[in-house]
Formats: sequence, C-alpha cells, structure tokens
Amino acid sequence: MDTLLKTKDVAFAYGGNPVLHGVSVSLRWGEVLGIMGPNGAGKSTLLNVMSGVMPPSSGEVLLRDLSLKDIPHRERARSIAIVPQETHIPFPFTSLEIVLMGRSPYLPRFGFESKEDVGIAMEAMRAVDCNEFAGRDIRSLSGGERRRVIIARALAQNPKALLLDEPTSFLDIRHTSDLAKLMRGLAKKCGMGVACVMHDLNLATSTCDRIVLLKEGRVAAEGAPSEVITPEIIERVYGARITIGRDPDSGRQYCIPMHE
Amino acid sequence: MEIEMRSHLTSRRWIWINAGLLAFLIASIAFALFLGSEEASLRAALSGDERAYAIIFVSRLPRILLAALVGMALASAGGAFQALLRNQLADPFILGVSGGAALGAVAAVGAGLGFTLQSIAAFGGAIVSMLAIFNIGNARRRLSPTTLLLTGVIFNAFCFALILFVNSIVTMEEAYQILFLLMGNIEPMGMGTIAVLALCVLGGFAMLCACSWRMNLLAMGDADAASMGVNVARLRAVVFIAASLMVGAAVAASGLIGFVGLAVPHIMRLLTGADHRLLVPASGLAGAAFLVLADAAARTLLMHTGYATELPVGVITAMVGAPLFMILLRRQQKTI
Repeated sequence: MDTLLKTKDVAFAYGGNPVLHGVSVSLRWGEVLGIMGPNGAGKSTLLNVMSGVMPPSSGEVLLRDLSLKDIPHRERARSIAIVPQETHIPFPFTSLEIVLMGRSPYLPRFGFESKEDVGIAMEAMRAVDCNEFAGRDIRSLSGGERRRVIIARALAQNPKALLLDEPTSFLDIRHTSDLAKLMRGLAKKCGMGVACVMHDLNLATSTCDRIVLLKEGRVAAEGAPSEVITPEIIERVYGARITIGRDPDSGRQYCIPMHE
Repeated sequence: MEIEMRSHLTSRRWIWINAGLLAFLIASIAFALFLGSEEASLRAALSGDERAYAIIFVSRLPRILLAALVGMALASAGGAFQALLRNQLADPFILGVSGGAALGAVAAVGAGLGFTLQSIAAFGGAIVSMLAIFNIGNARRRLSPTTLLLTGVIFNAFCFALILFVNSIVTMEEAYQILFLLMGNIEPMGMGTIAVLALCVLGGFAMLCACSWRMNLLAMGDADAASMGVNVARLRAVVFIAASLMVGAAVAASGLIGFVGLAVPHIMRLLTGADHRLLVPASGLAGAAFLVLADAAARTLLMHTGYATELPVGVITAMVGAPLFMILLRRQQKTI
C-alpha cells in the first residue's frame, strides 16, 4: 500500500520541553492507524505535527511526496483534516455553521457557501448522526453531541487524511461503535487514511489495521494489533498487566486489565 | 431544508441586512441634522439663509459625521477584538486598549502636538496596550473572562495614573483639553481633522471586513483555524493593526467613549447570528447609527432644563452599556 502521510524523523518541543524525539511513522491510503501510548507520550503532539498545525522543530512531514511546509495552507486543508481533543466555542454559532466552516478551504476568497456546500455539510452531519442539531446553538449541545459536530466539520473538509484525537471520549457505546464503523468505512470504501489517537485497547484491536505505540516521545512498537497488544509489550510500555483472551464466535482478540 | 436555510449565512441575507443598516444610518444622520436647540430647515440652509447654513453644515454636520465615524470604529473594532480574543466580553474600553490610546493622546496634548500626531500617539498607545494585554492574558493559551477583565482593570488603572500625572504638570488650558478627552465627548471639529479620522476609520473598517471571512475560523481557536487553512499569525497581525488604528483615531478624536464596542456587537449577534462575515460590517454600521443617536440625545436631553446645555456622550453610552455588560457577565458565568 502507498504512503499518504509520513513523518520523517520529526522532533518537537514546547518551549524548552522536548516532546517528540525523531519519530517516523507513515499513514497509508485506506488504512486505520491507531496512535497509542501512556499519558504524556506525545500522541496529540504527533497528530498535530502530522496535520501541519504545528511545524516540527526538526525532520519533516510529507504529504505524498511533498513537504507540508511547501504546501499552501488552504490546499493542505483540503487534504488533511483534524478533530482536536477539545474545542471551546465561545459564540452562538449554529451546528450547521460550524460544519460549514469545514468548507472554507474550498470557498473563493470572499465567497459564501453554495447549495452544494450545504448539501455536503448536511451529509457529513448525517454520517455522524448529528443532522438533527443543524439549527441548534452549538453551546447548548452536550459534550458528545458537540464532538460529533466537530467530526462532521472535519468530514466536510473532504480530506484524504483524517486525523482524530481521542474522538470517542464523551461518546456513549452506540456512538463509539458507530464512529469505529465510520472510520473503517472511510478507509475501506473511500480509501482515506485515518489516524486516530485512542486509549481503549479493545476498541483499537477491533478498529485499527495497524497501531503505533509511543513512549516518551519515541516509537516503542509498531504493527498489527495482535502483534502490538501483547502482555509483554503492554507491560514494557505502560507498566500495566493485561491478559489476552479470544472471543470464541468471532475469533477476535480482547484483553482484560489485571489488577493485583 | 427550512432549518438549513435559516441556520447559516447566505449572500442574500448579507446584502439585505447591511443595506437595511446603511439606510438606518442615513436616516439617523438626517434625523440628527434637524434636531437641536436652534430651529433650522434644510431648505433655508440651501436657499442662502446664512444662519441656517451655519447651524446645519458648519455646526451640526461635522459633529454628526464625527459621531458616526467614532461609533463605526469602536463597534467594528469591538467585534473584531471579540473574535481575536475569543471572548464576548472583549471591548476596547474594558480591555484597556482605549486607556492606552488615551494615554498616548494625552501625552501628545501635553507635548503640545496637533490632531494628526495625537492620533499617531493614540494608535501607538492602542497597539502597545493590545500587545501587553494579549501576552499577559494569553499565558495559559485560553483567555478566561477573569484574566481578561483583571488585566483590563489593572492596565486602565496604570494608564490613568500616568494620565493624571501628565495632567498635573501641564498648563490649565491643556488640562481642560485632557479632561474632555477623558469624559468622552463629541465636539465640533474642522473638516480637515474629520478627513484624517475618516481615512483611518474607513481604511480600518475595510481591512476588518476583508478579514471577517477568516474570523469565524479564528474564533474556533488557533489550531483549528490553522487546520482549516488560515494563516493565523498573518490574520492576527492584520486584525490587531486595523482595530488598533481605528481605536487610536477614535480616542484621539473623541476621548473615552465606553461600551459601544461591547454593546453593539452583542446586540447584532443576537439579531443577525454569530457569523463574523455579517457581524463585523453590521456592527460598524449599527455602531455609527447608535453613536449618532446617542450624541443627538446628549445634545438635546438637557435642552429645556436649567442645567448645563449638553451631556458628554460617554455618559449616555455608559448608562446603556454598563447594565448590559453586567447582564452579559452573569449569563457567561452560568454557561461556563
């Protein structure tokens, strides 16, 4: 499979505080890549560096074969969309207005959204089951509802690479399951590259094609879920113990944390 | 489909609302022209009656234009500051930007400089205070209302200490001029001065309107804006400079007029929605009309009483704006 988005030996520091040390990962077309690791391992930072929002202090990020720093901002926004961990919206925008902002990289300099743009936005909202809030003030929605609106905004950008930072926090089990299905659909049917920071080992096993495990700003392990989520590796990276089991019907692997 | 139509901004709505507000502004100016302690008709003024001509075109018109320009500057800059700082309570007066601009203008008065140099000094004061507030308040990456208000209060107190210091070392005549600056007053000025002011305000207004297309994204936060294709650093710099230029010129021309930058964008947001593409120009036009009417009220409220002939217009705007600000603050505390 071809590489869509790739970091080459990137480092990043907040002020004098180094977070990433020479990380090289690649996101391929049509795959769901899980980015995992303990708190403070640099997962969100890596995602932000991959999105082009935070330029790396060394190394580079390549979209296909082009360095992100050589791509104009608006053009980049048509290829890469990111769903941040938290979005605080201080103004009474309607949900539809928020989702339509995802169309702004496609609008002319001083244009307004066309009927087609509204159609794309509504379709994105239906995909994450939030179309019924289209006319509601975004500030009146719950955390999970608001999160789905922001995911719809990223979908409206019609990106090739979709980056999500813990998208299932605040979501209930049904919407978590729906989102996992959506991510797989976007990768398999639309050929998108989907990279997702997540914490839930079982969700990662059932959703991801590959997993990158980060520890202290470095890649600690990489591979298929069954290769990465093993008691040995999880103990080494997280310092936590798990037991692996297998569902007799589907043959899927699952894990249970073991507390002493 | 119906919900979709009402839930976002279309070009047709943009045009109609702005055209309506422009018509309202023109009507307000016409209304204010014929309001005053002296009787004067436009027909008499145009048919060679020198007294009527002097009242309407020499005494009232420049003052009304000044009010319109200052109102436009404060209200559209207020809307822009709110997007920039991601806070509905931001306003040039409350943030201390007006205080900084006033300090610049007062220092220029103390040095015996004319209006253009006073404007430049006020612009410098506005830029410096804007940068200071942003850097102090932004330490935790998100400006909380508390940090913002506290910074504004402290900054204003500091500026006023320096202003009073200047005030105590200048001549009586200059001290009187400074007092008027602090009260917030629309006074008749020469057409040349108004032309300089118009250049600053209309130029800044055009820049802000152009930027308003990206302000929605900026209001989502820097990272979100960047991810949707905005060059955040450049946009911020342009909005900073345009808004500070307008506030600086407005303060040099009319002193400290409070709450216009807070009240007008807030009311427009309730009426027209949060989309900055409409909010910024609509606030500018509505702010101009608001200050024209507030100044007309300031001129005429005490007309038939035994008191002083006029109120400073800052008294009117603060009497409307301060209660509104308190209501807003309470509501914002509830939602956060």
